Amino acid sequence: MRDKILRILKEEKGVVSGRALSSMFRCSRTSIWKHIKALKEEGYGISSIPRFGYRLYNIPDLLLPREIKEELSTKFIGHKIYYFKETGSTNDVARDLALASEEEGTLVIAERQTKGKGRIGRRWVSPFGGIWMSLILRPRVSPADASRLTLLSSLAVCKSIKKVVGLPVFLKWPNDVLIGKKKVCGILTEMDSELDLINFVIVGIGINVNMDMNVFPEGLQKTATSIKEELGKDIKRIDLLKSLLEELERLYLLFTEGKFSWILKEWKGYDCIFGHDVEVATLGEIIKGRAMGVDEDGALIIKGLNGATKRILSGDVRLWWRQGDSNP
Amino acid sequence: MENNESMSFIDREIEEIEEVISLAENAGISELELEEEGKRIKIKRAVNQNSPPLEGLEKEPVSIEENNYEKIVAPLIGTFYRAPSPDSPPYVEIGDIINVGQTVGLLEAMKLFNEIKSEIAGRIVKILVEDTQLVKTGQVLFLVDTHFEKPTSG
Repeated sequence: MRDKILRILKEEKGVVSGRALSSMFRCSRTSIWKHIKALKEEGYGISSIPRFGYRLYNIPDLLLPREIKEELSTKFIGHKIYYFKETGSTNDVARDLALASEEEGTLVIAERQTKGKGRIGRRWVSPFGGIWMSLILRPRVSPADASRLTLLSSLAVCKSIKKVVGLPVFLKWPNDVLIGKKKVCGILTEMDSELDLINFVIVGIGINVNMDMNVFPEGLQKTATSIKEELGKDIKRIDLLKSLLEELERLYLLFTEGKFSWILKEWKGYDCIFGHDVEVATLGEIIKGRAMGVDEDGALIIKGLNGATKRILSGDVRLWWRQGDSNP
Repeated sequence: MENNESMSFIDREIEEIEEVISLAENAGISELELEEEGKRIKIKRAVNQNSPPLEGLEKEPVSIEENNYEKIVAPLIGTFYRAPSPDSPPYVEIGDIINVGQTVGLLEAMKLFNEIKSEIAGRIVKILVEDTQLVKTGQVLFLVDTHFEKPTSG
């Protein structure tokens, strides 16, 4: 009922009388007033004009579930949403939900994370203004193929930023999304599996959207950026999020149909390190060489200085620019 | 008698050559030459050029000890972590008693993280891999004594 009241207020764009609403919903005007009050508490700007009624004058810049679901064209991703003004880590919440049998496609979203997670215990700065979300997936594929989801997710982010914001975006293996040479999005994927069966995968996506650079610690300012910083203005986060969910579902369905090669082909179109000299910090060792793209599994191929090729599954890639090289 | 002895001599030679071959295979090298007391064994191996070696992957040493205990193996290829983060204590240590379903390590491949859960209960007797080592699917990570006397309370 609250959703319906809101829809009427949105459609009317003017004053809607309390009496009209109460007769429409066959309830008391007090009951209508309670719903209006709740909507205002959610952040909607609704003015109450005595004797006339209610008027919606502002839809908040929040990632509210009902705003996300409005005209969302997905089949299952984002149909169920857990929304938090603030939580520790959306990945942790999603994981607990998945362990409690929550269904595939369920989304956990927070306006702020107090314990945003990065790789191996690193922190992920997640103040208000970003998109901090985790998605529950239950792909019926071999656990060995699950790492492909990280490439898939980065491609979805890349394409949705390009589509909604129009900025040139690039991918850095395996799943960093860059604008210029700076990271605008981080992806942390966690899996729970048996020997040959995936119980669930949590895809955690953090996008720096409407954030000023001063929210990042000084050390991060050289390597991180936000869409606002690159574009020079705020964007509507909800539009980006909806586009991302639709793109994620399109690619995920391709993946589950065994068409990962299609995804890789698209991914390669954004590969900013291909052909460039890079160094890869792997376990206690730094490998220098030229990035030769990814193989059919999504592993990085590096051609070493001695001409031998190496296949890399794990490591941090740093661009190792030679003088005279242009930016990606 | 003499004939038998010379046979076993050849057997020993073959055994030695086999040893050198497996040495070369385990180390992933294509050519190996050993010289000892006027004897020289040289082997050459065709190394598959099509699939580049996976960076950092090492063959696990096989030991008889493994047969006496139950194993926890790597479910996937990837980087093995003993702790959830560099500042945290390891999931398990030698001597720890673990239950079915308990997390004993973390694997990462292409930034996908997968907790390794034990399918057996028992006491950890050996950890065969280092923190941040690259492991392959099926590689033995832990040896677990499933027949130890459970400490009784009181």
